[in-house]
Amino acid sequence: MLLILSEEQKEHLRFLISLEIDVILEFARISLDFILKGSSNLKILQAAAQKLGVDINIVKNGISGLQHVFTESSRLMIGEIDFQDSVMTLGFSKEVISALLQLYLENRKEVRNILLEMTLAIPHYHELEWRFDVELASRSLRHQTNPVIIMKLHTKEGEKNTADILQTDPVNLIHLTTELENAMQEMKTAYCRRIVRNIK
Amino acid sequence: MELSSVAIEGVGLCGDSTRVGDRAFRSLVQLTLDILLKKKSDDCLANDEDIISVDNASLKQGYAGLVSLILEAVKMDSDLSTISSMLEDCKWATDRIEYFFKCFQDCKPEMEALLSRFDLFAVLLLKLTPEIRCLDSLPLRDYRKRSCGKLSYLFCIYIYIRTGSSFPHIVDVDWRLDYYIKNNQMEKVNKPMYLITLKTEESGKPQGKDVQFSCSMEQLQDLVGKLKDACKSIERAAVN
Repeated sequence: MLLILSEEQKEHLRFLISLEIDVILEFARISLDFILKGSSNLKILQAAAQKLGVDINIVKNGISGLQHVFTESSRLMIGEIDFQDSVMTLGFSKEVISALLQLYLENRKEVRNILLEMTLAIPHYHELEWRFDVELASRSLRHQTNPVIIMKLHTKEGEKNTADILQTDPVNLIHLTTELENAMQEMKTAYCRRIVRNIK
Repeated sequence: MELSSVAIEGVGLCGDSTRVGDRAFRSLVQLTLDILLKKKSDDCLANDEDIISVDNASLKQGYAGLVSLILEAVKMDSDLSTISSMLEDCKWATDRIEYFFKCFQDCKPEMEALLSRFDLFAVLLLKLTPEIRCLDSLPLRDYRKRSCGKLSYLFCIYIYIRTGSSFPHIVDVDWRLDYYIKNNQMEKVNKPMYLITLKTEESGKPQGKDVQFSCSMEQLQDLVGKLKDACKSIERAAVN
């Protein structure tokens, strides 16, 4: 699968072709930095524009063009050859292409992690703390021996952390554990493995 | 065991055969226990033909005394000799004390269960026939599914009238396994994802809230590992 770029994006990237390889790579590093850190630093852009003697908007467009190349390729999980071919159509030299490929492969995992965080968030398991108590007495009944397991379940939803305090008794705890173990085992069954193999 | 003076007076009234006749006494003890166990409502006192012979004021105070006596005895787990000496002080005849003990001891485990939070298992094991006893290793939900008659009745008590303070009590878990393929931001995610719902019950509420969360394979492994640790430490505690 090749990367599809609009004419406008191609136009933005064309400016980069005329530059030296080191400068192009610096641009690529800056654009990856912006993706990973999530902010665009105007000062860096201004400094670059001054050095090259061009308008700041041209620099900005070049950077965002590269950003688009990296995020789209990561999003689509584009393979090495397809990445090279896609970049080649833009007119970069062989050396630049292989250096860009290197950068892409190095950073793909992190870019994907960032993209994954941006997707719809449902409460996610984070941590479980537990404690084992024996209830001995209460207002209405003395002389008890009641085993109780108290649990604090931490879940995360995007940036929001929640903690639920729950309790259970030994029989239910064992039931809960075996049931979740079954859930885990289910992924190893022939059926699930076959489905996973066929989704590529 | 300590009762207020009004309650002691009431217990005394129940022992007084001029005010409460033998048949009325027997009905009163049985009905009081049934009412406490929520098997009957308190209107039945007014409709019972044996109790009709007792005048209303004595009945009211006698019933209140009996209720205090029973609850306090269960709460403090008083032994029979303590209760017996107290009843003798209230001038109960021996046959009345014996009858009371017989009924009281039949109901005591159920009463304890009611007053505690969730130790109905113990009660069931004590009271039920061997066929049902084999269910003792089942979690609460399965009990309820398979139970019938008296059993399900007991669970009604358990769920709705559970006293005491407690956190939401986990009684079951539902899980679902998904294969996460892609989303609007990203292609080829391809990871197994679990959606887990913990079903809970809470005292005083007919329906507990569900706790729902998702987790990846690694997170589920972490969760199960921790739960297994908890199971092991409880097993060790049980052996010691």
